[in-house]
Amino acid sequence: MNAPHENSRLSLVFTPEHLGEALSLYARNPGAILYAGGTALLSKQSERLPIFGAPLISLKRVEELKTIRRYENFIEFGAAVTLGDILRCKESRFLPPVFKTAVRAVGTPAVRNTATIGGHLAVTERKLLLLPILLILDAAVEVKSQTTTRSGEIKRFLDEKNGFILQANEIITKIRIPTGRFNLWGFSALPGSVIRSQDFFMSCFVARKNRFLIEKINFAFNIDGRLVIRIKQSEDRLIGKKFPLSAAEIREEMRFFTSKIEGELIAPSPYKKERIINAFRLILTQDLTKSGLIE
Amino acid sequence: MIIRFTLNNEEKTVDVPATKRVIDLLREDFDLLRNKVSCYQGACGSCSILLDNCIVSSCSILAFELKGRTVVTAEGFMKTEEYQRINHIFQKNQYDPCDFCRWGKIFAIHEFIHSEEHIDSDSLTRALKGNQCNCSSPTLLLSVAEQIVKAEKKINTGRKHERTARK
Repeated sequence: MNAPHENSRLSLVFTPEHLGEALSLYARNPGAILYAGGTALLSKQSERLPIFGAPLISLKRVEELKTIRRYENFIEFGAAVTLGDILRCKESRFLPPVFKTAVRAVGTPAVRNTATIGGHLAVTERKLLLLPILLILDAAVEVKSQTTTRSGEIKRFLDEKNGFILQANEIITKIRIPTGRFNLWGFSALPGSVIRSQDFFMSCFVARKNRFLIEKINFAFNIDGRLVIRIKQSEDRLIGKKFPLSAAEIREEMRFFTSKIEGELIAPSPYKKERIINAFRLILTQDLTKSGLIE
Repeated sequence: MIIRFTLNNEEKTVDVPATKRVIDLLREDFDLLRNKVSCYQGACGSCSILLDNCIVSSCSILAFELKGRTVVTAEGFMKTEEYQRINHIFQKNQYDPCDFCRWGKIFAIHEFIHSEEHIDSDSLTRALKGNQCNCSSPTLLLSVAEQIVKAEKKINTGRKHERTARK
């Protein structure tokens, strides 16, 4: 095992190279900070020499967290794979276009070469750009502690506000992204930064159509990085419908969706509620008769 | 913490605090001053370097992350033929960015050259997004970047064909 590195009052840093070592360290140091890419952690540091107040466990050198594998129906990324590596890997051509587009929208090339997909999910202060995308793709995660392994669709790991929840001493180890399930997609994010902007808004959807009928449709919205909204009942109502919808159908679906937003939504201002409703209207009024990006 | 890494093609060993920012390590411990530090937030691009041939903001990388890795700073990249070609196109277009943003832009262009992205103004704009200095015309930067990328991809394609022919 690598010896920790310490300089008097400065941060203690562990650099394990294997997952078992990392999990064991985390179990013995429950207050330690997991350090993957460090982009979110360092954005909160104002000192030239960052001092974290707790030991760091760097996940950058853990072999099992850096793998990329393609299976028949999904691609699996280790949690420490950077967003830049996701775009560069040979498996990327099989990834859902909505996911690749969203990854390209995260930060800058320099940020993407540092930020990891696991770290992106695990940030607790804000809900970042890829969380809604992974949600609508029915992506799955695996999380491990020294004694437990849990895996399943991401929605099972979200709390009532769609924030990602880990139990004590758990580390996200793998993210699995299904491939080939959807043939329509749309994505827009305004303005550019979910971390720095108080007025961030993102909408995304994926759908599978068979001729003119929608077999499945998932959509989600990210408001200011604080709320991720997905109204499952609205999605279910659209299944089996023929697109383009009639004006009466659009009115009916808008009425239902708006009632859900008005009834259940917490916090956003009337302006932001209006943005969500308009984004949903945009999805409904798309032609959806051709595959590909619909903005 | 003792760190061994490759810096501008030379093996280096340094003893620094594990969480020292790499931009400070490069400037203070190795006197490499061409990469500047400005925001300490990874937002402005002035501290950009290549880490394992990928652009990163060195203010957002900590010393312990360098172990066993390869770093190229402005001083190292200036010795490459690629830099000579980039600089020639800069000069041909009378494009002369300031010392704060120059290397962020050059490394961003280098990253784009070696990516599989389609060459168009949207993808180039995205690639250059991490550089906030407006010392020079953004339109000229896009035009220059496009010229460089096209020229370099042509050279790289030619080299690939040569290697294939030799096999």
